[in-house]
Amino acid sequence: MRNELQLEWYKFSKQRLPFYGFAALLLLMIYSGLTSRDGRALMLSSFGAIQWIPIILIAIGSSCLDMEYRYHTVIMLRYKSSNLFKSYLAKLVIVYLYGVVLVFLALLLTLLLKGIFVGKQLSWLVLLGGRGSILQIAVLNLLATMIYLLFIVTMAFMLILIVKINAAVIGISLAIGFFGAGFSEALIKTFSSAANLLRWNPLNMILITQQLTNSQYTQISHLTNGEIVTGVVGYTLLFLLIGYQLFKERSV
Amino acid sequence: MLEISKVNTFVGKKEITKNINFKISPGEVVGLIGPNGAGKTTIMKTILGVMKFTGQISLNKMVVTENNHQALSNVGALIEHPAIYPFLSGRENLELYAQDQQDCQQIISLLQMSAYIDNKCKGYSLGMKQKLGIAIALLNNPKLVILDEPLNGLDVEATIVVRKIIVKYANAGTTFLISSHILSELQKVMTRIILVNHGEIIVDQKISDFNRQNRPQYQIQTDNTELTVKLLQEKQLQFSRDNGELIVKQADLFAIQDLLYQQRQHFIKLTPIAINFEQLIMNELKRQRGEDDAK
Ligand SMILES: Nc1ncnc2c1ncn2[C@@H]1O[C@H](COP(=O)(O)OP(=O)(O)OP(=O)(O)O)[C@@H](O)[C@H]1O
Ligand SMILES: [Mg+2]
Repeated sequence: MRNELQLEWYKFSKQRLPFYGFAALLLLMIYSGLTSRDGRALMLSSFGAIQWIPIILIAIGSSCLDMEYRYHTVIMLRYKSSNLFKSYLAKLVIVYLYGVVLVFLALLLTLLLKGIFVGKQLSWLVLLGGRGSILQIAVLNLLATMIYLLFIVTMAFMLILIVKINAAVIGISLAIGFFGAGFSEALIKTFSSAANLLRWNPLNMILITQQLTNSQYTQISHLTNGEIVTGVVGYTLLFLLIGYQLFKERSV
Repeated sequence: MLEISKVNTFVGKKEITKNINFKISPGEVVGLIGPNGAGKTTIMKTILGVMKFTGQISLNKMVVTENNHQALSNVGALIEHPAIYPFLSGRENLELYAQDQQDCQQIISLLQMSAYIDNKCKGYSLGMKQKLGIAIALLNNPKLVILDEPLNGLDVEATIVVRKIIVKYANAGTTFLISSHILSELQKVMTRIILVNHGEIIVDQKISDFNRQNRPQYQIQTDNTELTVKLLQEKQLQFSRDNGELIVKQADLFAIQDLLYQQRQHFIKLTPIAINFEQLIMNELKRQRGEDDAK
């Protein structure tokens, strides 16, 4: 597994892609800062980073797998690999770790941007009714995002193997990022009799990024904290297995 | 070293190759020939364990399956398009697979790529990429090298370089399986021909046997055509006649020598007509088509 990880890391680090990801995160966070007047919400969401990072990571993850097909290198990857699952997993792990780096970067940038866009009138140490300080909650939200990124990375790989067109995957990811939660909420409301089942729909899982620090979200997600974590992990495993199967089956 | 028996390859439910059987010994240079869509690339991919197949493939007695690629550790391959990451330099691309640096450098010099090997591959021309693809296939002293259309886009000089490398490696015991539509080039290196059509092997012969069966033709010029014709008929040699021009087919050299001796006072010139390899291949394909129609 070490060899596979080294190989994937080498390929990943030699591309421009990671830098585009950093740049995109910075720009999107500034965009959030410019367009929102709600300082508290900006701080809690790390200037929208908990929403932006999954979108960026889908784009990068799918492009990372897609390039092997674009550059005809997948055949080398496949025949040289003594264990195909390890190769697939190694790629996932590298992209995921990059996502973790994005999360840390988001925290740093948030501390910086807060000074610019929110200023001194709202302190990081302000307590929010029994939930802890703004800083604590913001950090916890980012940690929850890290869990959600497992779901995101495995989904990105699975999606690119299904639709095979990078631009389409990015489009889908934008749709999920912006409308997924709302769609899921509407779905559960409309078919409330089936809520017990529908609350497990994958779009609902995005709420993990906020629910763990704000129990009000359970009313939207209809899932307890334990359930939503289970859901995210469950979908991660499911996407991993489906994605790997597709990777194995796809003709080179 | 490579044994393939009863291999059928599938894409989904579709059967692409049917009942492929052959064995290759070390040092053989096998030319895999056939029309577009015949299944050459598919056969190669199947050997590399990346296709769904039934039957058995083994390399040095180790079995290759879709999930077990251990036997492939000393197989080098270039399939269809060179596998190159454009954001890496040529050298970095090689180093992804190379087990030792020296080997890498040696192949770079051998293929005469030193001038641009440290540039990013983004800027490579078609032929430069192709050479890099061949270089990757030759890394780590492979026992078997599979080259699918290796001459794609190569200039005259590079073609000669690649040909020499193949001969050099083959003499050192490396086995080659090469597909190419450039028959004249393949003819210069291959020791065996496998002709594929519609996913089936229709000819599998040592090149010497293939050539013997398809003997060269000779043009005979004499100042007494009638006498020559008579002699040819006596000797039951196949020939064609176009006015004064006589072309003997499928003859062995001794029979012709004999003939010339008998009419030596009239003899002007004997010209061997080189085997037209393309024509032979076309004939084989036509013959098979005829057989298929007859069925
Ligand atoms: N992924 C695929 N899906 C469907 N059919 C395929 C696939 N790959 C190959 N085939 C079919 O298999 C047959 C053999 O293809 P293959 O690429 O092996 O031919 P080839 O002999 O290499 O031809 P060429 O000289 O053009 O390279 C063709 O009829 C092709 O249509
Ligand atoms: Mg081909």
